Amino acid sequence: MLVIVLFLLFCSNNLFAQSNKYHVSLNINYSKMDLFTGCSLMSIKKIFDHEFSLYTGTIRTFFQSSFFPMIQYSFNYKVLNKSTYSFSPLISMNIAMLNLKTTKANIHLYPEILIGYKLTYGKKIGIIHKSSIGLLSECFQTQLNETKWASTFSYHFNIGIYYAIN
Amino acid sequence: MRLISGVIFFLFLLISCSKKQDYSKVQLFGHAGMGLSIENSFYHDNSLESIELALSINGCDGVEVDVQMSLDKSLWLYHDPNLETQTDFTGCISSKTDKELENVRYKTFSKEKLIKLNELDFNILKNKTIILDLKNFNYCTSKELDKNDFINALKQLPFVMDSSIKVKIILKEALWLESFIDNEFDILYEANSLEKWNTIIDVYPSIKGLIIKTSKISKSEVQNIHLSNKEVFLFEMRSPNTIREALIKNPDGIISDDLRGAVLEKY
Repeated sequence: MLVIVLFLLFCSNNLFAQSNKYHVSLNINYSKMDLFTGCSLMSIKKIFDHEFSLYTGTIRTFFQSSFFPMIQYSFNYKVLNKSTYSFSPLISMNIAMLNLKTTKANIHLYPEILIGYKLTYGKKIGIIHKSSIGLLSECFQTQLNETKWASTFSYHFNIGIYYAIN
Repeated sequence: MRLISGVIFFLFLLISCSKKQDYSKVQLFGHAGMGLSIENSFYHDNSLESIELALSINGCDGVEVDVQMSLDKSLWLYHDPNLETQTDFTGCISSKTDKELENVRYKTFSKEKLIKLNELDFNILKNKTIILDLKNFNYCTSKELDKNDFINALKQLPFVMDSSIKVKIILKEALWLESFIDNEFDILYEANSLEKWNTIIDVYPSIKGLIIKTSKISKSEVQNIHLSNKEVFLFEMRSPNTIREALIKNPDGIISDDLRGAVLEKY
């Protein structure tokens, strides 16, 4: 994990020297834990893109009144970059948080690491599609005050629309 | 900026507006662990991992598990009639020996093992309730199993004797009721309708309670059963809406396929 973070930081330092374009997007993200909806800010480079997203789990938040936020960072390497479309493999790191409170707060954390691909089509306004698979964990304090970890296979299927700011 | 603030304010208003009723007397149970065939379950139903995860979640009062008997008269946890639907093995539990079943694994990412009931860790069951749904049929030979074999196997389980662990038995077969009641097990009768329940309870008044699909019973009918000092447990609920509908009926317990969702709805 540390190697991946260092690699991403190294890439970001190199790439921030390039000319910067930004896209904002609205996304729907179907995953194992919920149907997430949210927005992203993408830093568009010639070869690499960085994407920061904020989501909320629709079922838990809107149908169960329990805010279920998820923060996502994606790093894309464009293997195909034409004027109207692009294709890039991606690596993504997410963390979601759900408070399963009983008589007291009980935070369940859901860290995830995923690999997949991203497709974009459009110019000023366009559509995005991302699919990824990876490993999802759940971490929380048990009734005996021990930290419990559980892990499983996970997936994300994402569609959205973007707007190029500059 | 004003639009974003407005959206955030609306979100918080939406989240904080709902006022929950008091469901403190309703116990929450995980269906076969974290839920039966549900997307957000980390592990396969009836696996050790799924049961342990469910029991470690705050607010979970116990689990319901599906119990089948092998040729060697051991109790195994498995839901479906045939092994090939969920595992890397074929046939029925009741037609297999323990040795054959020992290496069976579910067809999942984690490849969880098929487990015997006595493999459950008693420490995680302390102060919890375990509900055992007995499958009294060999689905491959279409023959009914011997109830006395089940009774003997259940009596050998260490946690049946442990006063800190509550054990309840689900039975669907009316002819099995008398023997289990005579052996002082807490029996929940699984009925398809209230008419069936009323017939059975007249004949076997020692039954502890009814277990029924939540869609088959109303709040007033639950109250009526409570008036006769019997317990009511509801099952088959996955969506937040069905969990809420079940809680409103004020049963003694709900067996949910979305345990996290049930905790969110109860508290």
